[in-house]
Amino acid sequence: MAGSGKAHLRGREDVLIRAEDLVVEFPVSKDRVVNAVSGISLDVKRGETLGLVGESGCGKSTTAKSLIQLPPPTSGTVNFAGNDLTELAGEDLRRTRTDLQMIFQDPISSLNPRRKIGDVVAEPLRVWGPRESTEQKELVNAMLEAVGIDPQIARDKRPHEFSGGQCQRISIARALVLNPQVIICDEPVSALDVSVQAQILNMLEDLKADYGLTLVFIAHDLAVVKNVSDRVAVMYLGKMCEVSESNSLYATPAHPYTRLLLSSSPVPDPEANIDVTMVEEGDIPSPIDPPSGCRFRTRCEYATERCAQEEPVMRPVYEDHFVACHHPLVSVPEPAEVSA
Amino acid sequence: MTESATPSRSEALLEVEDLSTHFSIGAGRLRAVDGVSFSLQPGQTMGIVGESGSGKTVLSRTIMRLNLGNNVHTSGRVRFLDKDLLELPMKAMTDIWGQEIAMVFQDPMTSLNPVVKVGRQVSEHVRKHLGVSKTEAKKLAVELLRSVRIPEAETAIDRYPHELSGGMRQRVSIAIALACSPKLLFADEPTTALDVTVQHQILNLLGMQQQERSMAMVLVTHDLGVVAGRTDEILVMYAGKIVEKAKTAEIFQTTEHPYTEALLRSIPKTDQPSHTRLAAIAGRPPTLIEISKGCSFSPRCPYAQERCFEEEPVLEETTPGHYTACWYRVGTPENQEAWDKNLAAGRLSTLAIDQGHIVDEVPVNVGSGGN
Repeated sequence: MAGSGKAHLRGREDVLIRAEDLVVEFPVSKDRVVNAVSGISLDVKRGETLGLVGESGCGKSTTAKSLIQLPPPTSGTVNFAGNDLTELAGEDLRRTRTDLQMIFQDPISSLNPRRKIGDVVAEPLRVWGPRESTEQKELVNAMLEAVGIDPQIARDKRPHEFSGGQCQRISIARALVLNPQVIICDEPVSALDVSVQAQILNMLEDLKADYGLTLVFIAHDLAVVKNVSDRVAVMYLGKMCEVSESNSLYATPAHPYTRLLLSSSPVPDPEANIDVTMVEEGDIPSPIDPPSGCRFRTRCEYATERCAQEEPVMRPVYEDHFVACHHPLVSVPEPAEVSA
Repeated sequence: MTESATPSRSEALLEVEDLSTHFSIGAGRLRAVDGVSFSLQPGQTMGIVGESGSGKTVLSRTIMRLNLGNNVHTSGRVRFLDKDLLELPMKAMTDIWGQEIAMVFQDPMTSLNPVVKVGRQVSEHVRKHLGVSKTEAKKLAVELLRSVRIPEAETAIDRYPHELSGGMRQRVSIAIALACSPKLLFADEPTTALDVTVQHQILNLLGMQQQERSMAMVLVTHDLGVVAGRTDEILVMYAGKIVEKAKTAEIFQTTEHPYTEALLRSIPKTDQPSHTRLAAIAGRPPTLIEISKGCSFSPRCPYAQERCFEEEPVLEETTPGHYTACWYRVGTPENQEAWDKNLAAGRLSTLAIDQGHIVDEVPVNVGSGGN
């Protein structure tokens, strides 16, 4: 869209999470706000992985956090398994939220350095889980084993004794221990080496199958998102650009922004033709004062008068492939653009 | 950037011979860089690739002589033009920094001074090394910022780093590095903290400036995607040693070292269908403290045989210009045999590659160092 619209939403009966018209604004001074998220609608089916991609500052983390009401969106609704989370408060909200867990980007700082691994993973159980300590211990052991950490060795150690990849697996164990339905993964592999990244991605796929999880996966690396996602949503400056089944998105990107992202991602191929003279000036516009109409127009080579006047609305281009753009690229579908 | 531009060996710009950097730490001697040799021609681009803790950053910092402290033990030789950098007094090094060899660091927020306007940070170098006047330096700073494509350079010089985005900050650090037209530029993970679109721009900018100034560049990164198509030659480092060295196209087309192969296979690619199982490398790099017999990659290697645990392979030239340190090189019949044997025996690291399982060893108490 950088536009709005809900054409990409599916039938209510199929979906586990359905968020409509999410708006998140942060006040910065008396009469100015940061428009972090401006009218995002999305849905996730049970057992599906939704990938959220976009540059830093596009609002992908804010969108995901507003799903679990951290903080609640300025306006909009989040329907989870029949409840509107924005209507819930206090005890009800906290109890519902045990079904939605989150893992973060920096695995080391998301674990308390002064606590033992066994206690870190048992913490959610102390709040919500079984009261029996033997039962708690068994659950913790089972979860650590599920993420490939030996509980006998790890339980009494502290986070600094583990590598980044191991810490990330421990935070996944902590997220899983309450048997949630949804896990929101906020850039879970961005801080890791490629070899470790592969381990974590494979593991998430296994856990998803074993525990019947639904994932919302945020990343800026398009190849990583493609690897884990069933459906991908591309965001730009608080708006949705393109939503599609993932293979279709990468084969035939319809939004100029998606194509820009794809052509920028590094390809491990020495034959790839790189024209180093293509250096753009400028920057992503400020979300305090976003461009009118289509928010991507200031960087778009196809932008016309219409793009400044009128905000594009989500519309279908193929089956399960939607784009919000006045000048979509699909009349010339060129899968070769992927490696350009 | 092109291979044909590489001049003959005799006029090397930088020649590194048997360079080692060890750190004395509480737990023993950490061999961060261990016997590394390579040479770089003027105008050439070299990529240094490896995981965190493989010694790639320490290597570039050692060449620049930025590793200070009583616990650093450096040996070997670094020849830059006609000078032996390791023998120079520190005072002479300060003339080399910026003027002859410059560096761009990973995190532009911490490498720029947060309380000094960017214009002064750029012109500071020009004034110190070229001895120009204040007004002239300011003019040069504007020109430099313009050359790294910073919009409205005239007003940008009066900004502080926090007022700029990550990509713009990295452009400023590139402008600083280029200020005195160095002959060699070290770029240490220059784009790791940035978005893909910005990464693409910064890498293009570095490539363009390098062509314009016919400067040599060493690009240090953990991402093979970044060095592909942008370098002439690649060094792959593991546990402080070079395990494979070849022309960029060679290393991708006829990968010989199992570690390079594993790195390449573990990268997710946009042309693979969704939910493709990735080939993960088992375990993690060694701590570099205990001296192990044999090849340091052997515990994680899917092809490792008894010999690999006993005898350390040396870096040998296998085909002209292609050096590999491995007993069972990828693509040889011995390698295939080793794979079949390990698979039949159910060796865990082989299964890890084959089926994408996690194989983890006992956590070790010492930090893995590096970046």
